Amino acid sequence: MDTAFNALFLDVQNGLRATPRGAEIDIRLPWYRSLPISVIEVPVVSVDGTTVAPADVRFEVNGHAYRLDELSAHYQEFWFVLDTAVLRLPGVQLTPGSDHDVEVQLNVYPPYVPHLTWVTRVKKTIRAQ
Amino acid sequence: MPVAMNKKQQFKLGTTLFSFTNEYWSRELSFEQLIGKVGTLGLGPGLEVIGFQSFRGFPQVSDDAAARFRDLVAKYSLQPSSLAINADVWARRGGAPLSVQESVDYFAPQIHAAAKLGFPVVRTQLAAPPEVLERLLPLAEALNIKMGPELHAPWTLKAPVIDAYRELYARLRSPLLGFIPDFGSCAKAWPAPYLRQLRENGTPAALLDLAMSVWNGEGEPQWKRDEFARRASEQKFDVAAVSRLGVLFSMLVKQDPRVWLEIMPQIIHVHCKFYDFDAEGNETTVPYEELLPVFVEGGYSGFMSSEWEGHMYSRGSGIEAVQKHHALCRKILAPYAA
Repeated sequence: MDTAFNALFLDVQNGLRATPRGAEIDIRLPWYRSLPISVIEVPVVSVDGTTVAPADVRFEVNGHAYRLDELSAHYQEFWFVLDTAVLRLPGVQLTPGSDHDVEVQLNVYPPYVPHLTWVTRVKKTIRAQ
Repeated sequence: MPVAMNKKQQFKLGTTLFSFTNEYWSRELSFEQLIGKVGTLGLGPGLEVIGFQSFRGFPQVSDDAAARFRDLVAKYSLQPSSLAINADVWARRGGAPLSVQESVDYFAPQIHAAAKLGFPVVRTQLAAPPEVLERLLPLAEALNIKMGPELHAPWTLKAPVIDAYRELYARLRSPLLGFIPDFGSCAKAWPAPYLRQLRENGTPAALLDLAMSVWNGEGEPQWKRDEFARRASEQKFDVAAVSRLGVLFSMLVKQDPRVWLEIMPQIIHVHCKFYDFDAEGNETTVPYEELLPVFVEGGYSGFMSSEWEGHMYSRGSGIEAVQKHHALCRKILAPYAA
């Protein structure tokens, strides 16, 4: 059986949305505590087997949007452990009601544990809302 | 070596809400409901909380949040034991680690939060060097709060990083400075259910074998951690699978339970890390039948937090796990009951 971190990292019920501003993928923080977003890395986002270029992904939390290559600089922005963050893909237009294979890899570099990279990589088929 | 039977248990049991990460993270039970579980199920009296887990906006804690917490603690007759605070020294990924003064400034509001919530102890981390606690001692004195780093795998008590703390403590001789052992640093094996879960999820047998042979082999714990990472990378195993095994090197290390007698008067809190029980209710990873009598023998009089780390391999109930752990502790401690 999957851990909660893996099972709930992507939300198969409501975690993929088609919006006028592109597709939105909900993600959870697969760690036991809140962390600064500077220690989060999102090396892989793919939809239906097509990798989305990192420059075409925005990471949204606390009402702020960041480019993936900006995350490491924002050590004062915390992702609360119970909150859902959103990966926005402005270039990906989906049709509500259609099913898609979504894959996301998220790396956590716990800022108090040297040499540890905690890698979560999950692929799920999710119906776009 | 058996403990003299005239020694009595002076410490108290308790729970850290870390144990309930599955319930909390899955949004099944709230922070307040978890405190209620500790109270109604008799898993106190000690209650430990992780600031960055339980409080949105930590280290800021609003007056309302603090009042609600104090009310819950009183309602369930619990005693705040330790607030786990964090030394996020490497928060600037790819950049410079926090300086000593930056770490001081990072800890200070967390220590104020502990005082506001009524905790007598803060759990710090070895990631912050001892000079950080030296500079914070006047604040700890003003707030009457004990501070101490968690002694956690991959470090054992003879690690130079801990020597540096012991030298500082010998110089300052403050009753507010201490240590917090984590029993993952006295492991005898890796948790069977963790390895089972990895196998079921397709982790290659060769990778599991590599990890176990390195962990069980000769060498310093930190070297083993790095050696596993190096060889796994060389053999191009899947990075997610490597991280699931690599983290075990930072969770569990072998060590004689009796080492704690060396620093017993400086122990201000304990993390009773545990994973799995056999059919008789004995823990299979950490030797509680040896560890608890050592703390009776040493006259330890603080709290012991039951700390289940099962969320790393299971969606099981942390509440049930802590109930089993408390039952085991009570059984082991029965001959020493005060």
